[in-house]
Amino acid sequence: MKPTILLLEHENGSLRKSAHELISTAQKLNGTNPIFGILLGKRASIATQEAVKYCNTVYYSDNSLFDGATADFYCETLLPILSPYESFLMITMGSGKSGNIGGRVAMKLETAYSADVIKLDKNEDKLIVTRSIYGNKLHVLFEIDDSRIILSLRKGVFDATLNEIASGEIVELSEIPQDNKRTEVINLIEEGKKKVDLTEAEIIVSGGRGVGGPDAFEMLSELADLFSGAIGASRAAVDEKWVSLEHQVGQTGKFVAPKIYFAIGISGAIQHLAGMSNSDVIIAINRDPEAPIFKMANYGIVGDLFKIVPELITSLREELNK
Amino acid sequence: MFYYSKKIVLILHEKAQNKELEDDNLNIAVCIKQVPDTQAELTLINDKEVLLSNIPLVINPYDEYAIEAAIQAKEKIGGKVVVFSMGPDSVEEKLRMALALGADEAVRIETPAEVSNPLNTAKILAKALVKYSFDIILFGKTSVDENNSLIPSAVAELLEYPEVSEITECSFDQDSLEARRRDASITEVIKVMYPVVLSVEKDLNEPRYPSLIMIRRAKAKPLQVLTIEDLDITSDELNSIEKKNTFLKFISPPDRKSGIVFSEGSASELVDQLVSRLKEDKVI
Repeated sequence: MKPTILLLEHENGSLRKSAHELISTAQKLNGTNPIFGILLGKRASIATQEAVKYCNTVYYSDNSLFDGATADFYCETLLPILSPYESFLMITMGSGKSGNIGGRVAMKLETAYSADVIKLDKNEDKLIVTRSIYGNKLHVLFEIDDSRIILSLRKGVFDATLNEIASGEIVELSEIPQDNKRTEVINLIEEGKKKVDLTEAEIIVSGGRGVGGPDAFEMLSELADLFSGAIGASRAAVDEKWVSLEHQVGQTGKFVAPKIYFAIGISGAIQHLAGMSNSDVIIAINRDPEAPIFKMANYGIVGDLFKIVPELITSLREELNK
Repeated sequence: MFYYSKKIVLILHEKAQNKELEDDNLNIAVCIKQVPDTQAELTLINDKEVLLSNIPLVINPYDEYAIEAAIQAKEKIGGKVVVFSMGPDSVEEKLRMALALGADEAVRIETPAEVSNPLNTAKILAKALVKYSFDIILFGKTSVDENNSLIPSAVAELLEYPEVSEITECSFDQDSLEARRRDASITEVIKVMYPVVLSVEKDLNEPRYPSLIMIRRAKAKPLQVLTIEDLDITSDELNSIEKKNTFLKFISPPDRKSGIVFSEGSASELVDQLVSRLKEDKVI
């Protein structure tokens, strides 16, 4: 048996979109191999109800030791699940702690490994992975050949449609590693207002140097809120401290792939384009008709964003309320 | 449960005798990578080769914050900062820059011809790092060229250190540190006893510029060059990992074409044109 083992991200008892992407990818790849889903942390037991519709076996633990735990603790939890299998394919999400956990396990077991995969194909028995490198300026293809393989996927670029299977089995993990006592969680601060994660957002409204200051981002938020979208920014706007770093899209920020990307007052430096060129539709608003962003935008308006965005908000609100 | 190769376990055991730095002070390592400037355009020569020769090489942007964090840690709690990088001769210029910023020693590891898998890079780095006895090992959270984000985790795993990744704030103490990181909608505040591996986010600090005096002093600071032979790593060992991934080819990402641009009319006319086109194309 060669299971496909997925480390599923979840929040408030629901699977995150990234988890849907993992399951969907595994289902498409799979054939007859069983799919194992692993859910660890707060309210994992609730999220199993959703996961079990799509996985053959769901392993979970909502032990509070996982809250704020470092990747080594997760890694030690996973090893006893993985080690019995001579061959497996484990897939995690590429960014954040999930990526760290996959990386540690890959190093410990010396499996085949590839990170930040943007496309996954099968050639007979072998996996062909595509990675995006040098800030999306180049794609590189590898063939992976090993009995044990660990991959991490770039968030937001894989399809997330799921097929329900007959209900699988739910297994609570009975053995959790001992607290190593070297790390201590001092505090876990939950965001007051629920914010949309950029890498999961379907609509992103981004501002750049052209928006002129922090106030304009309130206007952009109003546009984003029409679609329950997220706010993005170019490096220039982040460097000016108009918005915080977590909004930065680009080579030294986040790579995003929404359905619609509004680039407002963004000229389109190559490092920014690297982060958003996988968007389905790009809509650019800029007063400079020569701005590079227009070379890759599906739709553009040349004009004063302070006049155009309010009109756009009014017009789109009417359309969406129809 | 140990899955390490015997060799690494041996080296871990030898660690106590191998300390090259003083015991009383904290030992801080920072690992950096040389990468192509993010502004550079890349050219494919054919589907197996990229033209990189005319591109300026810089310190990976995230690593600049790691260097600054290392120096700030030293300024606060004392100790010694050793900066590591694996790469060709040209890496020494980047190591000298780190020395000019305040690092005390530098180590360049010659990249073995066979290495392209990041697991091997981590193995080699871990063997170099374990020769010392570091309390804090700092990395940038990812490198902007390969974007694997693997090395900090893999090195931490080999050294059996915990890791706190993508930290946005950090305060260093004599035997522990307190760091903040964002995990989806939660900010985690974690205290860790040394030794620890850290990977840093961009808003951790404001990297300083080197002074002329420091640049001059950096020339006299020790810079050691190591090969895999010095680290007792065999080609066979590296090849057993390399053979798992076979490079097929490079391709250029699909080009986006420019679409329709509206530029004539008042703001409301422009918006009307856009919105009716979006409806027509079923974007909204």
